[in-house]
Amino acid sequence: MNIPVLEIENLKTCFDTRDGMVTAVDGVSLKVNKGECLGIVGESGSGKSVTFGSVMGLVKKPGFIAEGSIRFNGRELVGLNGKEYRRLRGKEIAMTMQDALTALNPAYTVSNQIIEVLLAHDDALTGSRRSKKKQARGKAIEMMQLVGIPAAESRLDDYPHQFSGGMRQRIMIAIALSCKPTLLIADEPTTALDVTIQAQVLELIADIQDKLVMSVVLITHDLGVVAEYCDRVMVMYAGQIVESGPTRDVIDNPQHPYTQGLLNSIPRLSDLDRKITPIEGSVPELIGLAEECRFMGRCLKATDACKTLIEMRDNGVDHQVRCINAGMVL
Amino acid sequence: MTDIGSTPDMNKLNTVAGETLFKRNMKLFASSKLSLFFSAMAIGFILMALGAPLFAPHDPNEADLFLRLLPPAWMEGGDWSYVLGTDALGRDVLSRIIYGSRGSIFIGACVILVATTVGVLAGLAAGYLGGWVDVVISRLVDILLGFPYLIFAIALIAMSGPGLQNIIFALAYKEWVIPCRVVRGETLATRDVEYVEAARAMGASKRYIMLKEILPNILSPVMVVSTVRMAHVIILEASLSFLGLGVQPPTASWGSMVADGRSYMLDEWWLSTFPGLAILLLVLSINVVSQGLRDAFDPKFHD
Repeated sequence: MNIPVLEIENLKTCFDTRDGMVTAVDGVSLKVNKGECLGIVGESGSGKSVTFGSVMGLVKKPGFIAEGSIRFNGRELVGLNGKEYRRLRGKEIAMTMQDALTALNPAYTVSNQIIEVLLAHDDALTGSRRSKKKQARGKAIEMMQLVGIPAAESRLDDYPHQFSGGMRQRIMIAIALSCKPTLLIADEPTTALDVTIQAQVLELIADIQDKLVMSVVLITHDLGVVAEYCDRVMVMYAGQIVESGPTRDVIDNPQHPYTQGLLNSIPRLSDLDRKITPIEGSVPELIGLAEECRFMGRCLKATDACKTLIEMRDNGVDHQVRCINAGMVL
Repeated sequence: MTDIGSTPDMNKLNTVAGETLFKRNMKLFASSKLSLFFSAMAIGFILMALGAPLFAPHDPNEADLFLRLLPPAWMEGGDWSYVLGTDALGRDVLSRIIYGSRGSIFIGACVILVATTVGVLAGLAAGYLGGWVDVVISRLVDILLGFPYLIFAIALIAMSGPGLQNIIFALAYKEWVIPCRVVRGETLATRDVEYVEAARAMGASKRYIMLKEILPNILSPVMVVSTVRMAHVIILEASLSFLGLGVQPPTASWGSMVADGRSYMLDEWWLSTFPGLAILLLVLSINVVSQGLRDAFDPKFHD
């Protein structure tokens, strides 16, 4: 079942700032298939959110898409006008925001916020505005139950501040899923949550994904989450994809020194004596980068050969790496 | 509750189920005795203006030259049917004060209504849309702020002539600038908040986001500002009437009553003093109410 839902080709998103042109996303190409869960990993500032902000058409000035194409179900999204984009957002592509605690409008009840989305997008509602509202309310209760909110019916008319963080995250997911989108972009859905709630929320997304045959893009910086829930994973660094492949492959046999570094910096309960090795330094500034490996400055294996333009190269089935040393035993 | 604390103002407040922050804040406002007392006073003034014919003992414009310049009732030569005395034409001062409240309150309310509506819409557009819309509106605001308020209003009335409508527009013409600035700032602070971003991600239009997502969240400061400004506008209206550019005679107005009484100030002090006192009390009550609202609605004042 390899029908691509989302295809991004050579996407370049830039921000025209006072200090110069910042290329936040530089030549990203990727594919999300139907019913698949793709994990996007990378540290802060690696361009994960900007990439999918570009997909949603939510990149704000001074940012703009400089090159590339984004196709959703075969339809080109770059250059789509505001009205057409609005029809797509929420209905076919939904996105949950990073911070669940502030992503719900404090001035409205939860029911109000779910119903508003249904009224805007759901064509299945019929009749007068009042009967539409009534149907939407029924659906809202269904959605709240689906995301596992106890006593959904009585809690529907509560305000966001009356819910806990995990509950609010679930409500966000309920809103995002209310119109049964083809693609869900979950931008760090679990960062603000504690571990038990985190697992519940992710199980929930996986569950609904199965039920609705929905594609999911899970943006995170937690490789553990990726290992557990994603079919494929892409590692981003400084605006580029540096490694991509099936989750098992990438985690068991990481090729890029950055991926290796990320995996080495995870503490393991099974091996408490092992020292955690952090990756020294931080992501380079994305202004006027030379044509060379962007990870070079922090890489322990860097050689002079890294000072050239490095392309993605194949390394096994469906596994690609942006490193000239990949595959070599050093 | 997993309280992560990124929205302290929301989480810190112990709210009862189903109670909005607005209701909670109104309760907080009502818990202050001072606020309640002055709210009652402001409401008293409004009732007085609405039911002027019921309260006024005489026709405010009925002149009786035989009864001119009567002192207040408790002074020698006073008459209890003219409690606050009579003016140079023998008109009842109390009745004129009661009728005069109509002009002050009506003009104040209209100016604030017009200015707030225009200001809020312009501020939302400037703050949310940004770009050239923001440049045009913000520069216009800067230019209008460069003129002294009263002189600007006098110039406008001099061009258009006095009259209720003209006074309201002369004042509203500049007054919208204040709510506009407040709303623009609040919008800038709110436009990048996650829930606005989330609304965009769910396919909301710009108009929907401005009016339905942002506006309800910035209404509190607008409410506070408009009450403070209402007091200012009432003083301005009184100043215009004092200068003879406001409500035209023979209609009673506090400002013109103070002006008329000025020439009798030394002997017949009550002519200017009582309308002046009325202006003072109305403005004071509005200011105290707005102060109370600010205390209740500004999270910085919550402990």
